[in-house]
Amino acid sequence: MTDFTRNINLTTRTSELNSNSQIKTGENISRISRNSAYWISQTAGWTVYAAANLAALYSFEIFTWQKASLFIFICMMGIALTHYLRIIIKRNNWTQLPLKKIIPVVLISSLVIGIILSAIFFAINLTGYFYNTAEFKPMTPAIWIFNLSSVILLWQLIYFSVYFFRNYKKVEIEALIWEAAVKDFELKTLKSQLNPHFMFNALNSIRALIEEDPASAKTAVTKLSNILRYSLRIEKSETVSLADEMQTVKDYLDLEKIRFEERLNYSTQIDERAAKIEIPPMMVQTLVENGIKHGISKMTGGGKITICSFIDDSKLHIQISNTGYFNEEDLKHATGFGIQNTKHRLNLLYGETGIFQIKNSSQNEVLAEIIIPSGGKINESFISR
Amino acid sequence: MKALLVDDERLARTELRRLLSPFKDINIVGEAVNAEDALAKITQLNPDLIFLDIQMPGKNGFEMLEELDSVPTVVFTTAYDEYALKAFEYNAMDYLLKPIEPKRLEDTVKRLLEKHKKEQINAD
Repeated sequence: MTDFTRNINLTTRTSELNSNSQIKTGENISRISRNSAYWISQTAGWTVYAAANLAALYSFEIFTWQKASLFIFICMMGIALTHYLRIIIKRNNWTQLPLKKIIPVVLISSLVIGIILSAIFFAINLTGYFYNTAEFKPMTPAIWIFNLSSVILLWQLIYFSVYFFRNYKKVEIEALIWEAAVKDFELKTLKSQLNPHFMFNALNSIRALIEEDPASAKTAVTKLSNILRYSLRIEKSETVSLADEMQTVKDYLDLEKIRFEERLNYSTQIDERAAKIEIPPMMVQTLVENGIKHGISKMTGGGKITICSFIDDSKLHIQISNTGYFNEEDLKHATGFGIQNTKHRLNLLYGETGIFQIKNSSQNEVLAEIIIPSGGKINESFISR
Repeated sequence: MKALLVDDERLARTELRRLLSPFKDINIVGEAVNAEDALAKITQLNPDLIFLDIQMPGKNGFEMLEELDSVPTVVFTTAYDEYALKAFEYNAMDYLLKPIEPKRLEDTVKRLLEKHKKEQINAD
């Protein structure tokens, strides 16, 4: 497999992952499996501990059911206390602490729980029903505290190692997903820079125009070279001002008007403040092209495309409406990337704050709208990396 | 040979007409701007040959051909190269990419006339 095809494969997988719903379901599944894994380890660990103690009791001491049930009770208390410890760890984000702080915190908390468990043990023994307290030596409480604290310490060691191992993998996977997503985006942008069919059709009409109207043919050649230059320039730039993008869109529409003649009409209405906002290049252009390809060019009588942009509540709105009918069913089967690409780019660049919607605004008009924060991109660092 | 030009773009038709003008044996009898128009003109003018664009408003070129009972010789003209294989399923005589190269058109016309001559001999 060449690097290129590997990239494509990687990017297809990423775009699948990028669909929000799938990520959420994935998280739910891993949370459920993480929880059940915790309970399995928790029960298994304490059962083994209890079994070992009972075995020791059986071999080295006088085995009584009272003693055995006391041990089992202590283990159940252990499960309860360590579960509570897990809640404390999560609530106080101990996993995020630097190593220097984690060590004393883990040692102290182990000792505290060890003392609590031992205290429970001795308090129950005061009833005299389980152990004969007279058998206890002066060192016995210390040994119990030491033993039980060590068990809790071991529990914490396992807990933190599992957490760090899992998290390390997660961070690595996330970085890979981002990297691949950025590549995907770049690949698609490259692809969307110029539609070759538009070029060939434009050149074909220009050739006819040379005889018919040489002056218009000259203007058309200039506009075509503007578009070509823009498409080369944006390979290097992350964003362009809306005004820049609109210049290209107008050149494009003028060239399409040569082809479609009276069947295509357009108007633009760009607010002065909106014109200065930086946007991802080719974003408006792609949607305008879509509007012509799927809308106006399909209508025998032609139609109109209107591009309107304004700022509202510190958000930039770009609305593109064209004659036509938008069929959601068609979109599902379509292989084209116009709409998918727009959604994906907005999501990569602005996260939840970038919105794209398309709908039939009337019986024969389709309205596509982009809403982005007027301040700029959110995930800038990823793209420039 | 009687030829009909089918293309929704006026300039594309003008250009094709100009490119065909040196060939005296190709007699352009009409132009159509969409599939409906073409269907009517084919019945009315009975051309031997149609130059057919694929992407048109309403029905596309392929859909138009499916509605014909007897299909004249077809030469597709389009800016899209991805329809070439499909075009030959429709017994296309040729598939010309826009902007059409004059030399390429000359070859097409030569083959068209040979085929037409053979058909006439067979008919006699």
